[in-house]
Amino acid sequence: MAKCTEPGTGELLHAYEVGALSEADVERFEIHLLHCKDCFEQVRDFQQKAGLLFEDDEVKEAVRRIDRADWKRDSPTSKLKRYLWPHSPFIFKPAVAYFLVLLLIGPAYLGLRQGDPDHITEFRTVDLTGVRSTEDQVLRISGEPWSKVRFWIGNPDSSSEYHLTVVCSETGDTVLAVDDFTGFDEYGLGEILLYVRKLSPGRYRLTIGSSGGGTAPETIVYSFAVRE
Amino acid sequence: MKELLARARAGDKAAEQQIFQYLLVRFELFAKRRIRDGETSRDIAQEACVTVLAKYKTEVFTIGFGPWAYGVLRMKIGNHIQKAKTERQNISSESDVDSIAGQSADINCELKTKLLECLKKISDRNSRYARVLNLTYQGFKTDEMCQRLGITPGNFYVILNRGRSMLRLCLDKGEV
Repeated sequence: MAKCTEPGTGELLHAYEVGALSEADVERFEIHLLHCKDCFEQVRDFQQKAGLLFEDDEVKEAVRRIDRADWKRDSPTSKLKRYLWPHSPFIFKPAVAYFLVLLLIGPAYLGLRQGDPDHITEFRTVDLTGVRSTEDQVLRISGEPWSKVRFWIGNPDSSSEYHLTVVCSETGDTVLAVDDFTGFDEYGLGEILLYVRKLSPGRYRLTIGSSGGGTAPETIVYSFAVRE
Repeated sequence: MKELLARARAGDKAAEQQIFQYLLVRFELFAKRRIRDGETSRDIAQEACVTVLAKYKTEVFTIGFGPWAYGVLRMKIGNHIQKAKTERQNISSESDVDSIAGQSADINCELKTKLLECLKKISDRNSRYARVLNLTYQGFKTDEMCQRLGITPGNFYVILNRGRSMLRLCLDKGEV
């Protein structure tokens, strides 16, 4: 069989055969049929067989019946989908669905994240226990805004309250003063939170002393540095 | 066709006859698609071919021979439809519309049965293909069908092509 002489126009073949072309396209295609033997043979062959679809009332009525049956057979979901999205391009539907899922689930997920105890921000910890007295540990201002400072006293008296001061060695300014600290654990370890961003670079002293009598230990001094 | 036309213009009667036959089968197909009545379509196609052969030697084809000849046919079809409309209006008062309804008398019952069977088979196999075909045959416009079926025109033509191929296969071999 000969090939179509104008494949671009020949693509209209099937739509022409079943009468789905606009009048302008019909004209274009029929002029093509005057030249193209292949398309013409196909159209003639099909029209001889399927021409009754257009011509015979009984056939037309049967087509309507089949169509109604097919329409009824459609699931309610697909009918609803067509009602909701009559013209949307195929690719757009999953995009909309994805967007809606994000819209519904996103806030709930974020809420869960915020309420999740595992999601609490972990502070940087500076451990002073190994550098008691003169040696320095360093807090960085450019890091996390808050830093945890861990210290140790020998045998803390659970009935005593301790006073803690953090003083800048250069200026003598007190940046933290707590008079009733009781937060030592059974091993004598304690922790305080320091807002590092407000500190100036320099050396600082953490002094821990008993605020009352009893068997409180001697005053302990830790030293650390704050740098940019 | 160009060669045939050149020979016919040079006075070759056989070439002229070939052009006549060539155009006649095509014109008849085009006319039948619009008028639906086989006999009337043949008459119109013949009239158009006679006009073409009467004028083609002297005519200057600014748009080519094919489009010009096609234009002649379109004019004949237009005249016929206009005339039929006028006649129908005149006759409608006498309730005699059936006489010009153009129903083909020689309906092939066997083919009709086969055609309906095929449509049913396609419907059973794939209702979407059948729906596109059925809506098309019922005369709905493309955008109406796309809206009803919830598909884009691109998808519509793809489905239409497949549905039509299934119908053709079924008419030829009896299976989908």
